[in-house]
Amino acid sequence: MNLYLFNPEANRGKAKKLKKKIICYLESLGIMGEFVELKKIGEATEITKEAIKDGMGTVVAVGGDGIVNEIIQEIAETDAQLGIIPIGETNLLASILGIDNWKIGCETLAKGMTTEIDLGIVSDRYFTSSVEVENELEQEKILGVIPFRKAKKYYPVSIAISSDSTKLKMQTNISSIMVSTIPIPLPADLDVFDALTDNKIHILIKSKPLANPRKKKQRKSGDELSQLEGNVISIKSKSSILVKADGEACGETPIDIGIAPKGLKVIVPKKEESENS
Amino acid sequence: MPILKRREILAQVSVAETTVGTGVTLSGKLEAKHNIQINGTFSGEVVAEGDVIIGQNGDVNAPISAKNATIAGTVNGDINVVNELDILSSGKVSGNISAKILSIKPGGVFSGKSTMHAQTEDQKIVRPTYETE
Repeated sequence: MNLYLFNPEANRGKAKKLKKKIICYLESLGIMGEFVELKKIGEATEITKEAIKDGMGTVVAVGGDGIVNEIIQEIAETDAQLGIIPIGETNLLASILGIDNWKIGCETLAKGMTTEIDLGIVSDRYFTSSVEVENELEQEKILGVIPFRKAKKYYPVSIAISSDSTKLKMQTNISSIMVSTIPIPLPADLDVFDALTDNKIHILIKSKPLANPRKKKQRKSGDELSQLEGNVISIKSKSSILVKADGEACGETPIDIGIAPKGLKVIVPKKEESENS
Repeated sequence: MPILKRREILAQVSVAETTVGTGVTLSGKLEAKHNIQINGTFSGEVVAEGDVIIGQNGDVNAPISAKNATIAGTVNGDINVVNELDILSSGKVSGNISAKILSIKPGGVFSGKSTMHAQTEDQKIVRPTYETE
């Protein structure tokens, strides 16, 4: 039997209107199970923990990335599998997996297949898509708390990246770092499921360009980007920088980010179905 | 990270390969199955199954092994490529090189010994003008 964890506040409360439609559609597909309406943040993690203890095989996130993130904290590296009915404001994992809307989410539960994908680990928390290390002031700048001009700030950081064959040490002034379980952007010729099971974390660093000593007149240029990959990344900085996993704050630097190979069982559309849709 | 900002970052990235930005100092062994581009400062060792590009601001103190290499910045170290090595007009290479095809554009600087691999008839090309130190 499936356990459905429904977040009525997903997509700024618009999810409430979809509740009846989703239940009807699940019933018509013959896969209705226990349907729980969540009341507070963190409740999905607690319920999932109990459900797995009771031997529940499938826990379905009916919401956005936030609810997926709560569920995977307990479901990761167990025999239970995750289903997704995406109705959130951001549904990044669902979109990567080819589950583009709630109807496809329901149909995938009925006719899909189970696959195992890599999960990232940061501060003892799992993440599915990305970890962001970024300037807190950027957030305040967006909210209009401080003037734009003063908000621009770079952090000197040292970064160590290691993989099976390489070890790298990096120093730079960063404005942000994004660490993801898939390459960013995804190359056109790469299969998304290969990328999700490559046992690598992909790192995108936005940093301050150095002045070029050969040029007298220098045009003000934008941030520089670096793309690297590895299995483990450690980030240290003189001043602490906020770290978010799948959009949720999860700590500050210094921080280590690793990977749990094939740490999540997830129900995805069958290949020919996702290609035809 | 807000979606718009994320999209803005993604739009700036050309291809998902290993890139070292201008503002970055990196040391260690950089190994990749695809292409590597270095625009910053690097020391250690570079090994690529694809191509290596050293940008105009790139400053590399490391031996380089790759399929092809294009040098627009500075390299201090031996370069060993399977096919073609291009030293562009802004490029400076100090070290021994080994390649099937070597091309040095006017203004490009090469200081060291060069070893050319044997070429089959159809691989032989007319070499461009080059200057060496």
